[in-house]
Amino acid sequence: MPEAAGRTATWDGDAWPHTRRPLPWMFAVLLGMIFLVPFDAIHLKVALPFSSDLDRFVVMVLVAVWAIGAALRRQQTVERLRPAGWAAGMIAFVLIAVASIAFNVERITNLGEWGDAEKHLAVLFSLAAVFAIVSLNLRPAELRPFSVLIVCLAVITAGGTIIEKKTGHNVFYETAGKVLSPIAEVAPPPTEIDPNPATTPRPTITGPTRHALSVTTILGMALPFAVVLAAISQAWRRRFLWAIAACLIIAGALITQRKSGAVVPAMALLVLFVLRPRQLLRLAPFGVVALAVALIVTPGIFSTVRELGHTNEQDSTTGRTSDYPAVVPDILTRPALGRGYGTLDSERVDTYRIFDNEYLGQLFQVGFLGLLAFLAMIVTPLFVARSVLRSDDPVRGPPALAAAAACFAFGVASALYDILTFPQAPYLFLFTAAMCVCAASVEVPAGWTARLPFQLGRRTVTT
Amino acid sequence: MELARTLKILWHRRRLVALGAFVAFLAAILSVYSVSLAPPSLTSRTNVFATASTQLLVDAPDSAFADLANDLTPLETRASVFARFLASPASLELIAREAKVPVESIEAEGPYDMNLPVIQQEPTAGARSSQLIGEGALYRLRFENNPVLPIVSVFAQAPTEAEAMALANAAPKALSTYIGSIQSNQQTPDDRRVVIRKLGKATGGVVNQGVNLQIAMLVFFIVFGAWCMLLIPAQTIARGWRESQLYGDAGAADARFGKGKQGEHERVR
Repeated sequence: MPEAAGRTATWDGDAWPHTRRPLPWMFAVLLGMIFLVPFDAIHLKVALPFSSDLDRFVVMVLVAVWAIGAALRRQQTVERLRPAGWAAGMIAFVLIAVASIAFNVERITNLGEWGDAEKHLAVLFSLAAVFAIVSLNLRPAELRPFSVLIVCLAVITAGGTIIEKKTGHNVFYETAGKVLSPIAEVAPPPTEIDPNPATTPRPTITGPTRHALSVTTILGMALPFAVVLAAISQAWRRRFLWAIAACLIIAGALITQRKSGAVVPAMALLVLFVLRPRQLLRLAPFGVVALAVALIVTPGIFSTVRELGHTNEQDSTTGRTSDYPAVVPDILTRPALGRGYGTLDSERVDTYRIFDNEYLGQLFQVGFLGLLAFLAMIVTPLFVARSVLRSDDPVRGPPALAAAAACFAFGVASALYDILTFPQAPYLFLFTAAMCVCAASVEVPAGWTARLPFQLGRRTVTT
Repeated sequence: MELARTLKILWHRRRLVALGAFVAFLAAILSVYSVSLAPPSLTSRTNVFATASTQLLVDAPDSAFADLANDLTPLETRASVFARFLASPASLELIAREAKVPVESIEAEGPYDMNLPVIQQEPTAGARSSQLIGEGALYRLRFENNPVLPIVSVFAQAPTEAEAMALANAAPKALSTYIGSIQSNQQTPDDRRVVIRKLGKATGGVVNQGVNLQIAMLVFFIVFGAWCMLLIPAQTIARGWRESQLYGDAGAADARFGKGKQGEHERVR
């Protein structure tokens, strides 16, 4: 019944990019910012009572545009019903984050950690706002265009990262510095092509982010979109081009010489193959040809892969394993709600450890309850989209599949580094989570919900 | 549209919204105050604190810095040793006596070697256990020393500005007293005595004023927001409950095909 209603009531005629609605254009700006702008290294030259990072302004504009639009919007002919519990993970995580601060307020204020907690909470609220607004306003007909946009932006990011490795010039930081210099200060790029092996065992190639793992994560999360677009393309030429794009994205991730650069894309692809094996196996010949083309485009990619094993990984592994015993005293002291969200100041190396695992970091900061909520936040999009992951509906099925694989890739990357410290991947994750929610939503004629029973078969819906 | 509908639902449930505001207010109060009923009182849970800092110079009786012929290395080595000594229990007793605060309320840390790789600076489980025990201390001291300078930086934290300044000023004095007593006992000649010079008076101030209000507001808005968000699904559940009572199974099937009483649904909404 809802599917039938969805067929009769759609917004297809007014979908991004063929729309004048400002919000989808803001979503495109947000994605552009995630993939192309080193926004966490940009501070606007204005004195404000809160952080002047660029992303806060973009999110504020997004919220303002949404609020004005919601206030001025007229009666619509179509209404969307989202799957029950679509925001449960996000809400639980925000609530537990605040509760962890409220319950630890004495210790937090005594140690002067409220400032850090405040900053991290501001980022969390920004992320929650992005998730809510995208979930509420993205239309199913816009899923595919945004999938295409994600791939195009990821290809540019991968290209820029490859150039960074070859030339030592970080085009993202340099361009941002030139364009934004009148209104903002842009930190120097962290790029280091030939580091001193005694202090830095691997080159630092970061693309538009502050850390190599951050750029590999966003590329790994974009990869399923390229693969799915290749799989659903009817024309072989188009399919080949998407496969080339996928190879470029993989090359961009691998060139950072981080193991995560191989792990995250591999896990994303694995999810696709598990969910749609037949559709994906058809791509194998295109993959071989595209790989050959990618090797021509980015010569030396195999040496990069080889270097993954040669570089000094011993310190990295030791650092990761030594985190586990070191975290025990804190977990035993505050098992339920941890020390307080955002109080882990990794710059105070004499007091806190840099956890190369976000799950461990969340366990430390928000306890077992917070860890469960964090896991719920990652799993909820996969759960709500499960009904459309194998769907043959071209509007919803393929984008939902790619978005779910991207969410899974985020979950994998969370086990490899402190992912919430670098905002690009969390923003992209919440955008793809919102895509899952949108794909699983049902469109009905306005007013239809008045006649809607509480339970629609096995699917419970919330209006 | 959805925002308008949400606001409309909340307006229909305005008594519950008002109750939510009251619950959020209570949660906000409880987040920053400990409430006692007998006798009735509110005690702040947050610690407004002040910090102060000063520096001390490890020097020779005729200042080593004025004469280019003097080698500063022995002074740098001593500064490093003194910085470690300052965080010891023996030193803390002297500092507590000078600053007139209970010694068991003082937690001292440092100096840390910033030149080591991060992995070696990070605390082990044992070090973290010690840090956790001292986290509740109201008076905190931190000592820093650059190995190539004969200077020790002292950072003090206390509930009031005066106490923080007293604590910071007490550190150089306590060190001077301790070294002076050793020199007297050993009858060290005057020209070979190490001298501790305080580089100016401690400066500081209150650093986290207004934190109570910020945390209380955060808790209020989060609890109130969560309450309002819960009202929306609660309304859906209530509607479903009433429908099942109104129609029973057969009626619900009719409703599924749009044969329900339109007016009844609108009334429920």
